[in-house]
Amino acid sequence: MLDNNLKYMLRAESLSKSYGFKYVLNKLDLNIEPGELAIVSGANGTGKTTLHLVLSSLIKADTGKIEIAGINIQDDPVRTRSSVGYVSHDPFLYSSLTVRENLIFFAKLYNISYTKFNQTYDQNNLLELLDIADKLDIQVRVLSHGFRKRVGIACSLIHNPSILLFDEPETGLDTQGFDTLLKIMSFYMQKNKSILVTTHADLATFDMKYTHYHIRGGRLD
Amino acid sequence: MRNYFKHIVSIFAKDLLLEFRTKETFVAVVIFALLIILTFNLGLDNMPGTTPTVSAGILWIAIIFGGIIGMNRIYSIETETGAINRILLTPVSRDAVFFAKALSNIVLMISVEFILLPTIIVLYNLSFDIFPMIFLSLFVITGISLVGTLFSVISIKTKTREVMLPILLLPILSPVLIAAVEASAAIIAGQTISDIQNWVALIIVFDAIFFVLAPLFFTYIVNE
Repeated sequence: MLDNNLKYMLRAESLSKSYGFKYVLNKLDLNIEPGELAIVSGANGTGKTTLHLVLSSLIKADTGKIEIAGINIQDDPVRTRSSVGYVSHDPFLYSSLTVRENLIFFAKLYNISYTKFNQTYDQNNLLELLDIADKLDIQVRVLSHGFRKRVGIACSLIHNPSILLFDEPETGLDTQGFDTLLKIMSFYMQKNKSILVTTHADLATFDMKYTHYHIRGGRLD
Repeated sequence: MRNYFKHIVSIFAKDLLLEFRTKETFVAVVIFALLIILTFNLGLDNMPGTTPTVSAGILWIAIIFGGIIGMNRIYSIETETGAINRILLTPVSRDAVFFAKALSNIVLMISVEFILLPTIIVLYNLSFDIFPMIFLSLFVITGISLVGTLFSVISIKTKTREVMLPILLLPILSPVLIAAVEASAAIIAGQTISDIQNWVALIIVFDAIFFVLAPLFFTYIVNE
């Protein structure tokens, strides 16, 4: 259960990450409040994806501290992973399984039975919103990249995370798909969830309240 | 703890479903292993008197080299589409992922052995009690799979992964392979399990060591 008095849903302090001698993140600080949308933009190779990978605990930062929903990521990585939903460039799916089988598999790994998932109104609405409700029994390999991305988004949100990380979500989505994604973001923000988006898209397309950061030299400004 | 075993079963069941649907790995491994047995059969056709040792050696060569193809494939299913990243994003323990993949390798190799054993019995005109052989194989295949699953993760990160896995794996597996060949030869020669208990003990110790160490190294490698 989330603490209602929680000041920051995500708190990153002095994060550094290097590949060889190149520091991609250099003592980066980032705080995101519950219900806040933070948008990070920046040129290619400035560390946007690395920031997501570190925050989602897919890779370790060299130094620094990350708290997700008040829990230190190093103290309890399993619990913090339950609070994060990461939508990457690639959908990360099994192409020989159907959409339903992918959803069931990843739901089980989040300790959610598919029956429970099916009964949850919000999640069902999500499948409708993403326009994949009628594609549940189709193998992922048959779907276009755009629809695979939509299935990937559904898999990332299946556990109702407290913080959503979107890495260039516009990639591979058509205008309608991106509009849908904006609706989903708005829906989650109303539920007091926090969102971090890295993007190259025109910020004018985000017709909601947001905090904008620019990443440069491994830091946000 | 209940969730831990549920996660292992979920990943293992997913591997089975993928294999059942594509049949890519099983068919490739069986054909390759059968080709090894047939090639040796043609080459060693006129060598009477060495049958127990030679046939035991051929059996384990076929299983290990077939198994290497399977181990490469079972882990590359996860990395080809990046699905392993999605698994690692979930609250699943890294060693649960390891044990699930090792279990998939064990089931694959046992299934292959069920085809290889009758083949080798027919081709080399052997007659022995099959149950001690199956008992022995369970321990040997468990050891091979535990080490193989670990090294398939290491080799998958290299450019020459198909070559790298046997180079890394075979030296580590040499004690268990020597024990497997010696014990299998004794069974084919008509000895019982009690006659080969020292070899079985060696294999069990090997399995126990890697049952503890392999998931620890796997977790470290995946986290880094």
